[in-house]
Amino acid sequence: MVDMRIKLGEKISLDNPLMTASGTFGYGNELSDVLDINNYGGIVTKSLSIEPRIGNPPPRIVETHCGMINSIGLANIGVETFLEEKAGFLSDYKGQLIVNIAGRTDDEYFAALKRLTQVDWIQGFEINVSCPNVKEGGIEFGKDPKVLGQLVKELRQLTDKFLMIKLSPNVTDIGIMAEKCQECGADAVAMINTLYGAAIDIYSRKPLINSVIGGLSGPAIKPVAIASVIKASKVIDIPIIGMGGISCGQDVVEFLLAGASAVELGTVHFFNPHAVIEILEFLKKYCDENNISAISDLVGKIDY
Amino acid sequence: MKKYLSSKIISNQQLSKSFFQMDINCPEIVKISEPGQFVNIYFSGDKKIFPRPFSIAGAKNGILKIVYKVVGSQTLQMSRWKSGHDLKILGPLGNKFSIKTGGTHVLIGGGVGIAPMLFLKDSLVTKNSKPYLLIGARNKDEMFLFEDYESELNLSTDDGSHGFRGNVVSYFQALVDSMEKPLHVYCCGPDKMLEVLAAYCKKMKFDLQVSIEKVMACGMGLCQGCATKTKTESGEIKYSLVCKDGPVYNAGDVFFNG
Repeated sequence: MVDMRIKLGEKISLDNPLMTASGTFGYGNELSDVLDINNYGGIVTKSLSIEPRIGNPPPRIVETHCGMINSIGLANIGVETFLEEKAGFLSDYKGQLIVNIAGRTDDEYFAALKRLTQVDWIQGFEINVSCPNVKEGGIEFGKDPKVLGQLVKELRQLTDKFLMIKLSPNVTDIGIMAEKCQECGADAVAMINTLYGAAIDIYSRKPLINSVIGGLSGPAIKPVAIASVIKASKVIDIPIIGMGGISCGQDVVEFLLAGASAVELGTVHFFNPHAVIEILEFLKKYCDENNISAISDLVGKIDY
Repeated sequence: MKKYLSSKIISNQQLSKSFFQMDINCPEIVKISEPGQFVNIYFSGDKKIFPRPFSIAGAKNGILKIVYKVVGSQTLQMSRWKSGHDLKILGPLGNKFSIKTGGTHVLIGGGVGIAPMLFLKDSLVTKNSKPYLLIGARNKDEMFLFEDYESELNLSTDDGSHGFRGNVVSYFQALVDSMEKPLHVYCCGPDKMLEVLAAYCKKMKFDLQVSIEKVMACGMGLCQGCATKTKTESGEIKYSLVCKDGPVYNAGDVFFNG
């Protein structure tokens, strides 16, 4: 029997290293008739903001080679509706429930975190710092180490629960951002959020999504994500949750070797609803065949 | 309760120049499918990652039928699948037509939009109704259903190579006086056609339900990619997810350019 458990610092233990990536798994209940959600060690919800958001106008998605570009605009039901409608279902979930929080100002993040940290069936938070900061001219919170550090420091004051920052790859050096998060008290970092992406219809000459530039995800971005995890793991000691283009068990092993303690499955949910089951099977078989007794033994074991 | 299954193709036959019919053995999905709903079909090892959604064109005796048109690499790949091929399928997805009682049912399909109308017709026939079925195609080569004893079948082609010359909405307008009122109209086809029909039905005060199409990734509300602008009953504007809240809408609630 392979020990699949993973510890993310002192606050969170996962039954296995597989989590869901925000925005690719709804609020957890949408896939529940197709699979048992207890297959996931952790669930990260869709981004929630303090007030509901209707999201961006269509077209919101376009398929690209081995990937997709999205511009959903953080459409979500808002914190209060989430708590009213999803409590019943999610409080039965046996794994670790992480709520992803988005905001357009510091205050929006603070308000959402203050409210959600009081809820006992929520074990931790993932902070989406790829939102435009409306007070700073729309520059994303996660782009400037000073702005990012300040935000993390203040969020840290508001909760003792697990606090993880989801980093954008659209920066010069993701290692600097990861270091900043560690210095300011984050329990973990998750990487990578989507890469910038755009596509154009050559006949109408129109951009293929509403916002012109959106977020690229899917198998196409996996090498960028692996490189980011390697870079970050060299400069921080807090756990890294790796994501970006995972579509099979081999990909998960690669992330663990690169230095991720756990991973999030994202776009794969759209093209293989049973991915989590197939990946778990592979991981057990891989560990058995390679005499690995605990999956945590793989973390950071890239052989330079 | 949608199901995600591995199912076998029973037959996959060419109906016309670019239309195919695939019969799939999946009793679990057939049992719970309703007219208007769709299924996702999955592909592996391809540069294109999204599954493709197909309206259910029939569901009985454990066999799910889809009618599809070859328009790109994925449907071309499908057209080459032989009987016995295992495919991954998810469904039933989306909402359904609300079947009205009394009056005359008029089913209008433009192009591949005929697919959900065939299932709706089956369902009406079991309710002892003989609906009108109006099918519009570009030309005779794209037409595949030439007789049908269960419905009042009326065919039109844009170029006049078979049946009425002109689009299927004009044909409906030409036939409408002979139809016993009240009318319940159901339609699936290109946006432009739905828009014209919606304006006409509004003027004539005919009740119209439309099945609309959008690019989808997940097909079940996970990604929120297939949003379209709609009106709620109270007139409020919202983004509705075609995969989950649709694909069937009351025509008056849809913005066809949204």
